[in-house]
Amino acid sequence: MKRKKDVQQGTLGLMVLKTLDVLGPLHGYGIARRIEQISGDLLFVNQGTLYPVLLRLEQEGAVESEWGPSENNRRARFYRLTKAGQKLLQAEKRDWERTAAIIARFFEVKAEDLS
Amino acid sequence: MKSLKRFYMRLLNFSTNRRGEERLREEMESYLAAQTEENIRAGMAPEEARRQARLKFGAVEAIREKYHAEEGLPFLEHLIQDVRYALRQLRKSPAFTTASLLTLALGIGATTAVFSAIDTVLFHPLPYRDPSQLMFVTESAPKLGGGEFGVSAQEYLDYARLNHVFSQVAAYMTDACNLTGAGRPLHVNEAQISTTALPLLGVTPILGRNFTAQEGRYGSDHVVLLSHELWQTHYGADPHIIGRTIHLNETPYTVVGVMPASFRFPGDSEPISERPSLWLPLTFAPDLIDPHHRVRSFGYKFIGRLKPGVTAPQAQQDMTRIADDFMRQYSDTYVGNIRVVPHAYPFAAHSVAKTRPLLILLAAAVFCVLLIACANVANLLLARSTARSQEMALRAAIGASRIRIVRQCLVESGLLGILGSIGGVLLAALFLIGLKRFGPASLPRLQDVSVHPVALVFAVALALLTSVFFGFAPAWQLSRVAPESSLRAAHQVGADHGSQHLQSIIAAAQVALAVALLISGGLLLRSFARLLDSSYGFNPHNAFIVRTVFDESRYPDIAKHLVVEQQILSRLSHLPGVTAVAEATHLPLSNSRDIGIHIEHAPANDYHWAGNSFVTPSYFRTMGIPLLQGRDFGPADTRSAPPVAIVSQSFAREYFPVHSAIGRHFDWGKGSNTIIGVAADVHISSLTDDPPPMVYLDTTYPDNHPNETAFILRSKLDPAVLLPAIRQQIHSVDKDLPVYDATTLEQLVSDSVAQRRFTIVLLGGFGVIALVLAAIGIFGVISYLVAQRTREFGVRMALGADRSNIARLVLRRGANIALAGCLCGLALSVLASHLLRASLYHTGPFDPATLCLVPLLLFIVVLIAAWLPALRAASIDPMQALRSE
Repeated sequence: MKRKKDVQQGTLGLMVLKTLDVLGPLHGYGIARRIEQISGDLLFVNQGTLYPVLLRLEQEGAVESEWGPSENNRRARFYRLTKAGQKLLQAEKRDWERTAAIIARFFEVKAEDLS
Repeated sequence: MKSLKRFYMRLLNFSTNRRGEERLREEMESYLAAQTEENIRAGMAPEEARRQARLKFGAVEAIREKYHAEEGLPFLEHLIQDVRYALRQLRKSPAFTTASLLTLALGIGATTAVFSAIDTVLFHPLPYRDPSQLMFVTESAPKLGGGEFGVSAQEYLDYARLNHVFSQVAAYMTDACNLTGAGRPLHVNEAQISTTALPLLGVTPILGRNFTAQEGRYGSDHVVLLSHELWQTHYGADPHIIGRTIHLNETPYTVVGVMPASFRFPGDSEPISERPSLWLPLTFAPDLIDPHHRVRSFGYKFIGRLKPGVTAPQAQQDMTRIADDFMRQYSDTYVGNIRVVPHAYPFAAHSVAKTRPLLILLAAAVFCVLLIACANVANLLLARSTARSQEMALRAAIGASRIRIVRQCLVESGLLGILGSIGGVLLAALFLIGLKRFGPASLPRLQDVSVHPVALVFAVALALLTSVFFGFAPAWQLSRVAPESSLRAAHQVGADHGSQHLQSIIAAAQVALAVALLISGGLLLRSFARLLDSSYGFNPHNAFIVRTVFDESRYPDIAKHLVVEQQILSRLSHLPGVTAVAEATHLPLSNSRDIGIHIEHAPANDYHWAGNSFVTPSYFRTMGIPLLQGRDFGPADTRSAPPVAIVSQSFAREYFPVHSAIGRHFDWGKGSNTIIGVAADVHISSLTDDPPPMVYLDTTYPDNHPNETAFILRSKLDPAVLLPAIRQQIHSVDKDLPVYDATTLEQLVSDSVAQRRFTIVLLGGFGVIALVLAAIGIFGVISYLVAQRTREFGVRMALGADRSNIARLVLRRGANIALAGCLCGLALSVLASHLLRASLYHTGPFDPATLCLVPLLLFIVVLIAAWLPALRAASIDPMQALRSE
């Protein structure tokens, strides 16, 4: 098995936002499982580190949270994307795509193109 | 905006101390529950499921910290934590804390106080507009001898009219007068100043106005400006004082203004008792303007404001040019020895010239103290941080980041520095209060001295820098080393040589500075003792003095004056307990006056200065001045007889070196005077200046008699008892004679050396502080050495060393430091005494007593300081030492 990498804090926030965007309101455990699922078990999320990120996003106004009943009738805190969070997600997505495009162009460039 | 909002939220959380503990716990619980369920579903046993869930969650503490880092102000919280911890650490080691704080506070306090005083006294002695542009001009006559004596009235007018360098000039002269009309006659100092003086200085009266140009004319000048102090004490701060009439020497004057409290011109550097209480317009009587009287009376001084762009040397050149011109124009007046040389000085520097060397000395001394204090703190911190290297290593091992460790050390030493600085500020204020109370009166503007921000900032910065650097540097070094090796260092038997070396050097430096300070103080002390021991020329013990004035309006002719004088002398001599009485117009170490005399048979116009005093026949006996040749004045020497004089030893030696001066003549006053006696020399201006040639004339002398005079009484009675009796006797003859400046001859002597005494006291104080600090430093270093090498000593003792051997080893270390320090200190003190040369009276810089005693003293002190640690070393139990790790 490949050794799992720890994920960066900044990108973790982005992943959380996208997850909430796609799946709608979710509790912390659910978000963690989902991210693990999507990254194909290539990323090891030290699950606990999710919570500081969630707090940060909430303080920035990108998500809202409230208590609610989860499956099995347990109580859990559910997180939901806000309008500001939507906008943030779009902006971050654009930034990433732009960065990726620039990097990709660099990798495609051959020696003759630079004369 | 987002980050600002976040910051605001953080601030809110921080201040309300809200913690997300509750929330995180709940989240963690719900996560664990969900994950455990999943694990159970996947087939694990419940306990294993729970455990795996926990592992998957991660390190709880780390996550809790990260969580908390998002919601509060972690930087501030860590800082507070560090500060709290630092305070606790400081409290746990009270000896170290007290020593450091005291040392820092002393160093900062003393330095700030002295530098504040120096700033005000040396650099801002004058409360005038642009004081650096003010020049002071006076004249001297090198061939006549004597010092500077001002200019004459007509010379001033020439300088004022013909100069190219001053935009404004003003002349002044100081005098004294009687303020009469309200209660007892009050004797006050007054100054006559040109009408241009106040505008020149840039000062305006707080009430009323300056003199008008009209009032600068002779005859229309009966107006006066009051000093703030006089207005308050004598006239009750009467707001309607303007326009009131007061009487000076029985003449009416109108008050036209009141000056601000800080205005003391021209007595800026004079003691309080010499400052003017009144200002009158300076006018020249017609006979002073008479060309024939051009050089009759000097004593006017003047100041000028430099035109923009003009320098002091240029001003000097201009004055010299004008003097050359008028001496050429009036060549029949400026003949023979009467050639004047003008001198122009910056007024500010002139005021402080006398006190400059004293203050510079103090500045150097206090800077040494500051250095010693900082060295002490440095040593204390070094010792401490090395002792805590293990603790730091442990912290690193359990996860503290390097920055965290270093920051904590920084906080601790910074806190020490800050607390010490606060103490220093308080001490500085205290020292300044003491300085104002006990400082010598001759320091100008001493009363205006306050804590100067730059001096304070400098001292605090130095102290903070030292404490931070010496607390921080070892921590930095420690944090770079991997924890294991530090933890293992405890197993070493030896000591940390690098740090110990540095500490020993610092301690030796402290000793060197202390030695230099003490030797300088010792030299000054020896010099002072020699000064006081030297013969004054008169007997200062049990001699009482009062002054009075026979002002011209009530004593227009000399006959009445003499009658009253005789009556007073007679009544005073009959007072019980009084053994001798005399009168004199000028007294040693008090006031002085010079006259220009011409020796018989000398070339025409060959004039010379000599000191002068008018005395009664019993003067020499009362003062205890021996008459070496000839006789005293007697009843035969009345007005009708040819005028006689008594001269001093140095006068006789200078002008009549070969044969006796008795019977010889000199010209002064209305004609020739016969010398009838030679008296022993007396110090007149100060104890360190050579006694000048003196001419004593009888009070019955028929010419040029000063109105102010003093009565001297020899009595063993208490002054408090004597003074009212004297006053009563004088007033029984004439009730309007003011009686003032009652003092003793001993007081005059003491006042003349007040500045020296003050220097020595201060320097001595600094020396003692330095000594104590150096001793503490040595104690610290040696104690630390013993603590570090405990195991080594244990090993040595186990291998057969005697207890006394160990003790000797420790003492030897202390002795080495002391020796190195003393040698460096001796070298330093040679340098210092070169700088002191001007103040040393008959004492060379290589005074053997001082140079031997001080190092010896320091050696003894160091040994005492090293004694206790040596004892402790000697009483080490080898088994304990070897066992402890």
